[in-house]
Amino acid sequence: MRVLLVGSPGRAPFTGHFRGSVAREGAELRWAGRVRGGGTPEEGWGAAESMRDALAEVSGADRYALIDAAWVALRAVAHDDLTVLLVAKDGEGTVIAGSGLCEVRADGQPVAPPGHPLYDEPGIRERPGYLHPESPAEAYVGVPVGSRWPAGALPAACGVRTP
Amino acid sequence: MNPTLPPGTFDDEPTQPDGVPPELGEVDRSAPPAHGEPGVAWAPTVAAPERGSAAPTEPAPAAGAATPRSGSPRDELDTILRSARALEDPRELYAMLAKTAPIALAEVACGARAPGGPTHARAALLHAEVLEKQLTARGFYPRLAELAGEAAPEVLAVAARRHPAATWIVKLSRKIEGQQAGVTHLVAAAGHPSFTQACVAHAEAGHIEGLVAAAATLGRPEPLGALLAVDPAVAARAAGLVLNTNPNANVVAWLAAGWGPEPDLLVARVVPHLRTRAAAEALLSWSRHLPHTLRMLRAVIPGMAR
Repeated sequence: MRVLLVGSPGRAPFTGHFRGSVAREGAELRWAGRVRGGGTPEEGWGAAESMRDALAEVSGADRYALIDAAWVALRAVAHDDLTVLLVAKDGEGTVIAGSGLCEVRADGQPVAPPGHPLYDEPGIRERPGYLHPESPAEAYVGVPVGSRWPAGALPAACGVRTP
Repeated sequence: MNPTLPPGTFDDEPTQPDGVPPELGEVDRSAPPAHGEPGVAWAPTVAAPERGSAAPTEPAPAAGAATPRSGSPRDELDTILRSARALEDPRELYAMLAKTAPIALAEVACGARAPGGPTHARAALLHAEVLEKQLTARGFYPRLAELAGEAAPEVLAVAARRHPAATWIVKLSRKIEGQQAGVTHLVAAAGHPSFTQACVAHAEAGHIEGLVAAAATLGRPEPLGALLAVDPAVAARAAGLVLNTNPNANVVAWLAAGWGPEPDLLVARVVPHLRTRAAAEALLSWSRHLPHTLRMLRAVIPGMAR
């Protein structure tokens, strides 16, 4: 399973982007996010490091617990412009949560119609919800508010590369 | 005595009342020409020659043409040019023309019949501000560089210092610096808001080694973003050189911003280019979420001299 976030237009498209995962007790959480995306690369990096530090400590017994723990961790280092896609799965299924997203696709198909509560302004959710996708997917891709689904190659647009 | 000309040189020459050079004899000189003003009569004479054409030469008189009448504007400019060619050190002449006859100065410095050579170019650069008002900067510096011989790098340095945001500097850099194109411009532009844009322009022009050299000289990470778009391996090498110069430059932030949120394998390629322990320790401080890089640094740092 991969969780990706589309980069911004411009010469530093992944300023403040962070991506990672934790696996705990048979459950797995993956995330892709952006913070201080409008700042300098140094500012974005510093803020993203805070997010990585916070999310690295997340634990939970199942997919719901992992999502809840992720929100708690993010709230501790909150930034108003936080955009994040969280996907957790366990033996029972998958749940999706997020903030600052205008579109999420699972293996290329939208997981929810426009206007769905999953899509919201950037920042920390006070009462986060869960979306249950109809079927599991290999790749979940989020589009930040203000961006569009990329016209070109998806991996490059999400900063998936090998040197 | 004509105040526009060197003493003892032109006393016997009749001149225009205002001392403006003869090439402009038919131009309304009631007001000084503005920067970029069209229609200045001498402009066609300073047009750069076509690619591959010979250097400008004295125009041959037309068949049957009479010798220019004495005291005509052309005569006077001819006299100035002859005088300029004969001078070993033309600075005094240039200084005088800059004060009193800037259009003649432009003819002498970079007109079609300009003497050229490093001495004249250096003298002209002392009056760059005056000359830019006579010809656009975009026309002046490339033409002067063409005439400057060994002083061409000095022409580029002045052009870059005075016009760090100008896009024509990129092409001029290529002509003068060759493989190292971009160094002079980028070093000059380092404190200017256009610096990042200048890095991109040189990258797009293929001035890769110049960008690397500028990054290393300045210890600035901005060129890395531009280099990433061209060659990630070169960007990694440049990042190492930047850190060697300036361990405070967060090269990881710049590489990640251009590359993507998982830059570990890219940042690991910086390590072989590190030459100081301070540089390696700086990279270590930004690598706590980059396990591959972390392993490499922990292996090499103990062997690096403090």
